[in-house]
Amino acid sequence: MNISGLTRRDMLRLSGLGFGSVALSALMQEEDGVSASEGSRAALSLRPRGTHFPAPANAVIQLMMPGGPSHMDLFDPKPVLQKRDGEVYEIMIDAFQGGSDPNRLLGSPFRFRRHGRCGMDISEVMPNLATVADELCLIRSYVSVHNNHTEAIVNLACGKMFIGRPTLGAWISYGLGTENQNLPAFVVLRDPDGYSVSGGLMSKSGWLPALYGGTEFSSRGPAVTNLKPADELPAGVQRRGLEFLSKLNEKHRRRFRDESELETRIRNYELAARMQMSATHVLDLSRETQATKKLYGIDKPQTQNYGTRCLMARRLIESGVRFVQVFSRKGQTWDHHGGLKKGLELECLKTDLATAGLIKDLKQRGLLDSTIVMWGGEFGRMPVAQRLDGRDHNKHAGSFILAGGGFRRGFIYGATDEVGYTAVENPFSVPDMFASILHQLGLDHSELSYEHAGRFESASDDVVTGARIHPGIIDTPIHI
Amino acid sequence: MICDLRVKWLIALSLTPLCLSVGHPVAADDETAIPVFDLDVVHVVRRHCFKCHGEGDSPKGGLDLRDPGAMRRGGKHGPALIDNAPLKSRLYKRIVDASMPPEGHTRLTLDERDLIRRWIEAGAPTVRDYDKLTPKSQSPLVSDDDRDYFAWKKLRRPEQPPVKALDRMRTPVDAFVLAQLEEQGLRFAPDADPTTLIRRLSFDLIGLPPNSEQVMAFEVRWKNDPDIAYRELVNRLLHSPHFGVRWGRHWLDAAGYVDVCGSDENAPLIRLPRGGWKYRDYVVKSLNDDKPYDRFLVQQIAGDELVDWRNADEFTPQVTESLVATGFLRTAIDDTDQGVLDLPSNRYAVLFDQMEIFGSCVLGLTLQCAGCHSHKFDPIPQRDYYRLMANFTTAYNIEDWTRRDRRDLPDVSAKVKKDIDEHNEPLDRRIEKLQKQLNRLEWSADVRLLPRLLEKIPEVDRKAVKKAFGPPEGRSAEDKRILGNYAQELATTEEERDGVRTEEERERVKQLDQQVKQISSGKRNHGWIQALYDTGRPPTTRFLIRGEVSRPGRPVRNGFLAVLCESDAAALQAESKPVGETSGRRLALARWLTNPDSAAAALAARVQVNRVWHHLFGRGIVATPGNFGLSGSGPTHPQLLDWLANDFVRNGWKMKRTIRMLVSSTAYRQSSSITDSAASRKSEIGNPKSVDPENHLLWRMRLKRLESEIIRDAILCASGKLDETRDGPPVPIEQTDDTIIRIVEGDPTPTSHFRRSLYILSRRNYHVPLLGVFDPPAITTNCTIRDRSTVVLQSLALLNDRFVTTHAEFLAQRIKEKTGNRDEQIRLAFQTILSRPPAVDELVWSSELLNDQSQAYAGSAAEPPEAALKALASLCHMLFNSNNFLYLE
Repeated sequence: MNISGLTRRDMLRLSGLGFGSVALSALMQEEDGVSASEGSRAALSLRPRGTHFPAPANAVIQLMMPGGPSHMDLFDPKPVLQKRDGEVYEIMIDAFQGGSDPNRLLGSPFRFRRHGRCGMDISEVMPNLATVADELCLIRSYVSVHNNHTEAIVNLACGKMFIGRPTLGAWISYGLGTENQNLPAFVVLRDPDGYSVSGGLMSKSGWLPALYGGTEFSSRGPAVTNLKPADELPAGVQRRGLEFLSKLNEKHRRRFRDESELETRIRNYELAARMQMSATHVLDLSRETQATKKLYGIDKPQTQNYGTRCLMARRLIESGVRFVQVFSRKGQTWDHHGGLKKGLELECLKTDLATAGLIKDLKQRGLLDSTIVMWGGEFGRMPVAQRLDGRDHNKHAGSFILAGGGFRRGFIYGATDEVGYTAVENPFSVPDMFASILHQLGLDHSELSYEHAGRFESASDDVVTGARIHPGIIDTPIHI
Repeated sequence: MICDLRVKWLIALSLTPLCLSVGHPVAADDETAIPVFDLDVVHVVRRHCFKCHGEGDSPKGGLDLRDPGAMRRGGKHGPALIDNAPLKSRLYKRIVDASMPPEGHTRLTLDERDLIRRWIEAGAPTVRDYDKLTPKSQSPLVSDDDRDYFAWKKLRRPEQPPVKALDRMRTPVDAFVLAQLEEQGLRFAPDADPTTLIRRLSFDLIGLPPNSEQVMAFEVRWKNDPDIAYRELVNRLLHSPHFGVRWGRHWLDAAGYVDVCGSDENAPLIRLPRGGWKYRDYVVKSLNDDKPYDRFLVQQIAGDELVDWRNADEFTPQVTESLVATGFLRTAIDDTDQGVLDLPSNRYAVLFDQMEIFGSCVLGLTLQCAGCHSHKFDPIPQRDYYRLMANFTTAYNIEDWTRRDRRDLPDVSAKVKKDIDEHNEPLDRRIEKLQKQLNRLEWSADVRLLPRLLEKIPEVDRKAVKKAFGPPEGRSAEDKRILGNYAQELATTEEERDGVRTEEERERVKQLDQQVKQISSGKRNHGWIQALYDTGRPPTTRFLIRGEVSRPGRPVRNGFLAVLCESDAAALQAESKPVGETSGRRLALARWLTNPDSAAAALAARVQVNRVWHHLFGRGIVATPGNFGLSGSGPTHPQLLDWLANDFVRNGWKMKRTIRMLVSSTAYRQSSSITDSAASRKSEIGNPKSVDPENHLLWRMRLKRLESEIIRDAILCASGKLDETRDGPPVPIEQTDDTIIRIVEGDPTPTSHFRRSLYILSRRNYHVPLLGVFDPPAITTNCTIRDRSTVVLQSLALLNDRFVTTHAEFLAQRIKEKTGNRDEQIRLAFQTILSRPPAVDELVWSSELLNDQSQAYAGSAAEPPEAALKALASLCHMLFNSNNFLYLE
């Protein structure tokens, strides 16, 4: 399933840090998924595991847009809203914050045009994404469960509004393991200037073992903390140290033969050594061509920050990482309670190019069919004005993009009412999204489960959330 | 505009999902059954009756229906209300016979009529009467059947079971463990050797490794008499001041203590509550003093109600200690000092979090479930949650909230504080005057620098900025706004200003600074305490329907959990005699929790001895120390747990006594190695690996991985750099440009960055990398059990983190100073890091390593002596990386 120019096997050979050939071949066996204890998903391991059924996708990139991007200004044109701009809406809007009185409709400051062969309406403020309209599955009926950021973010992260549940990335690493034993399964790339308001909430493993949680790589400075020795060592020093360590640890382990944790730790030292090679290689963007860098806007100051993370995401996926979470910018910059026009222009200026670039790049490398790209925030926004030129949070409707991974291309799913207040056709909840994404990865959302507090909890908790796969958004549904 | 109106409680409340197919059969809340005037009846009466009977100057028929008293007095036709008798009450009769309200007015609905009838039947209660209401007609929400569960039972003293292997009996603990082993045909593993035991004990009791002299001395004494040697060692360690540091961390995890305040979600921003660390020191000291656990709890829950601190002339150490102890109830995330976040929902969030912490830490209960609905597993009705909450709302007063930044108490009495303020006031005035002159001088220098500064400002605004840049005291709001836009561009440094000043001006600035300093030094100062105390009048605590802040329901009385009381009624006997002007509710709660005859104290004691067991044996008798309920894991040794809890309470709640007993047991002193335990079972029928693969029954000691802080402390101890200073403000940390958190070096003392990890500033989300990768508690609320992950970042940290390599070098240097003999050096490295000498093969490997590394370093231009030192450091470094170091056998 590895698609990168450099296969895992190559990587291992390249990074052979002098472990005995026996150890190496044992490792390579494991790389191929042939392992004695294979089969138990509950095992604490990131070895690649079989899917429940064959499926098109094997990796996910989540482009997280914290704050709640405004659907009626970006993806969901509302002629009635435009026409009635400034009028008082007869349906009382369920406002979250003050300043939304007196229920006055606010038209979009942007014009929409149809794009691609599919004729998808996309706002003028996203000229680049518009060029890949034919690759997008645009969901116009995205719904959340809460009008406040933290709750809605937790919902988007975990499928339910409870902190402590595993996040989507953790479920997927747990369900599928990872293709590349030289790197973590779930990597998080945040703005190096700061966390989004959700902090680390979106990458937690919850009550799944910590192994499945996200590992933060930095898109500025060293990508992985402590990846390299604090001071450069003369040739061979680290290798000999590790050989000594391995002898010592092997001897120690003989007295505790049944403690798998000791063995895992011995393996981790081998992985650490390999990671020093591969992570550096994978994250070395200087290997990219000028044209590619331009595609992601790394050559321009306003797009460089987010573009770097998008490009890193592609390289990680290419190297077999299962789930990459990219945050657009620190804070919650899509939260436009006021200054909607300027605010959206700025956000799009910073992110539109690279988002489109990522999709193009994946496509041209033949990776888009096997990689799901998620774009969206925790909820949509209100059709009525707040503070004259802003919009309040709206859990009842929003837009979300799923691209690649066998989702229908150039397709619009669901619809909101005449002003975009409520999703009226095919409401698409986060648990539904989990179910559909897991399906594309070959995992059954209600079967993928873990025992927690005396109860088998499934990834979508469909019994409670009512999660269901939406066949309408899938190219060729396999197992529904 | 970025705004995050956190309503965290909504999430934090329910780690357990809302809807579960299995559930404890509890009835709906009974307190919804009786209507009260102020909440229900008044709305009906207002709508239908007030216009004639209340609002005007002269109510019709002289009848005023605005409150029950007036109804009882009645009008010219007599009383309108006769308690408990609806059919005799004109209020109800006239409604039923349809004569009221008069023709042409809306009639009451059937529900409204029924409401009034039920209200009169219940004796026409108002909110004030509410506490007296006891729903007699209904069965209690918590039945005696519900109370029939090990965790809710009162203390008893189980008989020690008989055992076969009498030679393995050291303490009563062993009888219980052994009996269960023998039942399965198993037995204890042989005792661990003295070298293993001293390391195990040292880490478990003080969190530091023994040094090589201590190991040798112990081995010598062991040869004379193992039991005496062991007892002496245990005593020495229990008396070490490091005992409190080690066990303090365990308690602080459970209490959810971190040094910072608020949600701590902004990496570069560190907010410290004033004097918050005093609580940490209180915990350490209490443990070192072996303060009885009941007293420890009472102080932390109601210390402010034990002493009359409000009227004290001076704070005695006892007053201060009692107030500091209540910091226990100040650990919840509280962002209400962030202006926009001071909302009712956030106030409740703090209260809910604090309840959750209290519940899991002290009672081992997942109380938070019951905030929204009656607990699905445990017999905790939603009513009981709010009754319990009412003990805290006098201090966390939703209606009369004291914001986080305004509630710290001075650490001196009000009287002393007044003296200090009076003393400082004239000094402050003088300083202010001088400061004005300084500002003026700063401005006049800035004016000279202005042309240069203006270049950094867009041309369009330059004129406006120049105009606004008048003398600081004469600036208009508009001026300030304009200048505020360019604050960064207009900022100048003292150096820059000095550059444009005349000699005379420079002298003047110096003089003024000097004066300010001098006057400031004459000011008197005091510190602060993060205390919890009652504010204002006790508010009405309301039930929240489905836990929603926007849906307050009936008032509830303060009380306890019925499941831990003899009866439903007993749960409302929540009174105490506090000292000073305070409600005494928390004191009542604390007394209930520590009354040896109550089921609550039994549970609190079980939770605490289990916590001790968990830390010593690597897994609790109840494996979920924060959940003793039906959804937690049941006890592996129920009899033992009760015996221990009973012994603990009956002997003065002394933790050191319990710890001493546990570590003296054979169960604790067993070997952890599988080879040792396998050797012991030759003649046994049972194979422990097949009978009890998870080692629940303790047929050998469990392997424990050192915790995050202890790894760092052990490395510091080995390198000889450990700064043993205790107490005081946390050692600061900082975020470097590459977003990595580091301990600030040399601040406040040259070696403070080498202090024990407990004293390094602790945050919720951001940790020093080495500490961060080894599963420190992620404290959103609290942590009753830490993760134990095995991830590659841990290996990378031990391999590459500068802290580890630097201290390996320190240790190498220390060893080299002691001896030049290579074998001796290797022996010392093993002794210091692993508390044991190297085996023959290990000595050979080490020797080879030293040879090879010396050559490699010599090849890279190091002088031979330096190369040898680096090679030795490499050996130490690898030993720090070894599983032997990381796991406690």
